[in-house]
Amino acid sequence: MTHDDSENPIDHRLRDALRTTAMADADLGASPAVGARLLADLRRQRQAQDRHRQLSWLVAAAAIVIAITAARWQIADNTTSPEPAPTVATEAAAPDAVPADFLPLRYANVPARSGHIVQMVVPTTVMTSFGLEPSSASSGVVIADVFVGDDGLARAVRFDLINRELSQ
Amino acid sequence: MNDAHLLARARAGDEQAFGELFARHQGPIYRYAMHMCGADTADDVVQETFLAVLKAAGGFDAERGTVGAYLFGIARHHILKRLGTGPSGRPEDVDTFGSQPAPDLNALDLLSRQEIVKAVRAAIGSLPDVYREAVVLCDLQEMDYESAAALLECPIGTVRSRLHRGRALLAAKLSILRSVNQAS
Repeated sequence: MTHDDSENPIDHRLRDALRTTAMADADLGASPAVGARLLADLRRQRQAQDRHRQLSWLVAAAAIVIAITAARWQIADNTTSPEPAPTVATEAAAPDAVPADFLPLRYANVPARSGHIVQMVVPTTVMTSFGLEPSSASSGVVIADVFVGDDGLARAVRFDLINRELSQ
Repeated sequence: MNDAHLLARARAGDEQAFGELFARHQGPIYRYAMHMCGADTADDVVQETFLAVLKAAGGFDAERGTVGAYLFGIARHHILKRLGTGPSGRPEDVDTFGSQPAPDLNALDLLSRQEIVKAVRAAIGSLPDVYREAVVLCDLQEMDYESAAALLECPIGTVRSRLHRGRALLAAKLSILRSVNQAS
């Protein structure tokens, strides 16, 4: 025994019997199924952690893309027009507002409290469908600024600013 | 790799580290649980203990004790739940030994090893919880008094007295074997 029995005397036959039992017990342990169940649980837990981590990265990446897009739009807007940026370009747009220099899309009338500008590459035929003439310097595609509300619905689009940028 | 590193890596999802940690500690925890609440539920206690370890974000403090002691603490929590007693709600002076004469353990000399093990296990199983726990931890698991006191959340003197009474009860129960053997 690892403890001092001098203050707790024990009959030698009882001590031997306990030692014999301890030695016999030494082979006993949990069934293999317990280890297998725990490993399966560990895997599930790790997969959940991985999914959470991936989701966090996606959210972070989306936030970065949106921030860069918004910043790029603001820079471009500041360099091309001396007047302050239109309110729609910021995240907090006025309710029901479709930006003045934007063309309304299908959900333009759906109220939106805020939104984001998302840049997309679209064929120049899209401009044509809005009655706009693509730049002669364009290569068949054009970058569009799409105003997307906080509910995920696209409300407006514009081409002219980006077209100027492309033609420069 | 030491237990604390294994624990940290297991919590981070390292299967190999978990396997090693489990292999090192499942046996003692299983045996503790088996003597305290029976072989039928010992597997469940082991599983619940290691599940709690994996799901707990913190809890282990290397300055307060070893991983082994930490695991025993969790296991004890589950064992007490199964026994239906809390750490502070357990009868301390349940004494079924009373003032019986000194037990005669000569009967043990007449038994085979297998019979001794069977008789001791049965006798331990019939002890009141507090004494059984002291005997299982100190005599079967060979835990030192200090560690046992930390686990049982009581002074070392209490561990000693519980062990003393537990052994006396055990000896009395085993001495009954003498008359049984003589009769046969």
